[in-house]
Amino acid sequence: MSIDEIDLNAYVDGELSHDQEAEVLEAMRDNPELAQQICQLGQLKAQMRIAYANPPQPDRGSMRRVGRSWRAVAAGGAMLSVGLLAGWIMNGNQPGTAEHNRFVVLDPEGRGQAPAVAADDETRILFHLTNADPMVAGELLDEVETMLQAYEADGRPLRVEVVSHSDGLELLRQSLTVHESRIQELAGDYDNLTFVACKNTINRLRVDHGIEVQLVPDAEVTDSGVSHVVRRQQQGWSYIRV
Amino acid sequence: MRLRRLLTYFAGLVGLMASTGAAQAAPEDPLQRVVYHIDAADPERQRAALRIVRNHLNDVGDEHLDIRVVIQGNGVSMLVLPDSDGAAADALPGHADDRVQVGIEDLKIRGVTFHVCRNSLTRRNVDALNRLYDVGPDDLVDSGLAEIVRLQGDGYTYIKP
Amino acid sequence: MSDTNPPLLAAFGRKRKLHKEISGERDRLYRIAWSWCHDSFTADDLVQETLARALTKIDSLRDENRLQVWLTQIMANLYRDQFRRITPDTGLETELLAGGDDPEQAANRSQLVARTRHAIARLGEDQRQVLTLVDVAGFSYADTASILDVPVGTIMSRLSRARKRMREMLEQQGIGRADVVPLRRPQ
Repeated sequence: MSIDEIDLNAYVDGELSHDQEAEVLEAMRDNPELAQQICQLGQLKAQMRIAYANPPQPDRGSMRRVGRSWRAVAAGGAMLSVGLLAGWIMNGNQPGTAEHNRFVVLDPEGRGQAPAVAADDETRILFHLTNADPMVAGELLDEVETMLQAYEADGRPLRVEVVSHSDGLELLRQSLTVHESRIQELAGDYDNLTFVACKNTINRLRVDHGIEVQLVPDAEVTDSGVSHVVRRQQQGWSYIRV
Repeated sequence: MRLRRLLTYFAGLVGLMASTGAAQAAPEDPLQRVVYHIDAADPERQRAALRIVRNHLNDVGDEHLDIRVVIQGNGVSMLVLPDSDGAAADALPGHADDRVQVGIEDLKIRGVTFHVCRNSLTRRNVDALNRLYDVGPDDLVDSGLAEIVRLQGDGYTYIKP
Repeated sequence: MSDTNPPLLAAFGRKRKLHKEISGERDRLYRIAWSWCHDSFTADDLVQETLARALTKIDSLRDENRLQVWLTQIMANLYRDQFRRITPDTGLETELLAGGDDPEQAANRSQLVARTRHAIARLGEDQRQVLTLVDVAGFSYADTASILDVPVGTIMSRLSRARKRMREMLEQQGIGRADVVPLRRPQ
């Protein structure tokens, strides 16, 4: 056979039959240039394997992409608010900070905070309800009740706040909630459980929609649901968004 | 694709913050502990949550992360097999299609632990072993929310995607 | 949990096993995907999409021994249909290579890697795919032909042209006849 480039490539790739391989070897003996070509092809092949043995993984290079288009920058900005909240959450979660062993009693008027000292082993949980679905709220109340019961049965101290914010305010609106009697029962049975409504949300409903919100009697009010949530986390409360 | 990229920014941000947080908590401990909470009914949000976890792993590296995913409330539909039969099939459509299954499988191989809320399943009359994708008795916790509280107490950072 | 249906569990087990095997192919697929697009995000997307696609059409896998070819075929189709046009640029992502003990050797090596990738990035899409499938993934000509759905003869001529072009580019960059960075000879 006359040996061309394609044959040489096939030789290097191990795609030739034994007879064909023998022919190439034979030709190589008399033709140093052929031998060098084969050697180069072999090197290129090895080089390829090495070049892609460890490709970069998607990594923090993600940040570099933000600069790629203005649309991306804007989108990144939209995400930033979520990220900031996450950041607060994380900062609030560091165990061992000075405030971790203390909690602050919620001022029902939402003005200032009345500090108090809590038992060191008290578990404090804030549920941040932003979902209007009564099923979701009902399930949350079930879970809260189960927790309150379990802690009480074991004699472990527990404080729970349910902060209703944005669409979640529906749980505490007298005209809309389907859980009013349930809330009343729970609040009556457990003085370590507090329902908190966000005043910003109430104001927004008045200004934007002309709705005068009536809260269920057991609801307390805080100026801003978000700052309340952040404050609580800084104080070391467990945080769960529902 | 756009959503995917957005999620990447988000995960990058979260990863960065989580790493900062972890550093404050225990300077000598390079492991980030994070608990993800999935309770959304919307399949799109459920899939997005899996992507966010995946991006977080890509960002920080599998070996630096201890990720727990707590699936609770309406989020359990993510694990319900779409073609499974049962009396509750109409009431609770399953979202564990092949795409979700490969997403979960992938995360499990990379060391992510899933905790599924038994209370949420019971409320919805879901038989965990027969109707859920790859959930065994060890994967169940009595209360998903209580598990999140417990994990936060152990120093896990909470993220609700 | 005692009332579990055994046949259901068995079927479930088979599917789970295949899922595991498919997921186990991730690294290999990623390496190929990255060699095609030189972008970790695109590559990651492409692999994820491939795995998802594979699971949805798992029944079309006739021969489990051909899993790798089958998966790569799915990925090549996806790449052709959806991913090619979004490949952002041929600007290569740089990376820090894990340095060996000898810094000079490590530097040479990383330079070699960078130059090779740079040359690959300048190949045409068709040539790049053939070359990476044969050299990086180690597929035979026949498998490469079935992955890309072209005749074996086309694979052979593309490959030959691709390597010729690579040699030209690498020689221009100074990795040529005279000063080839020493590599172990292929056996």
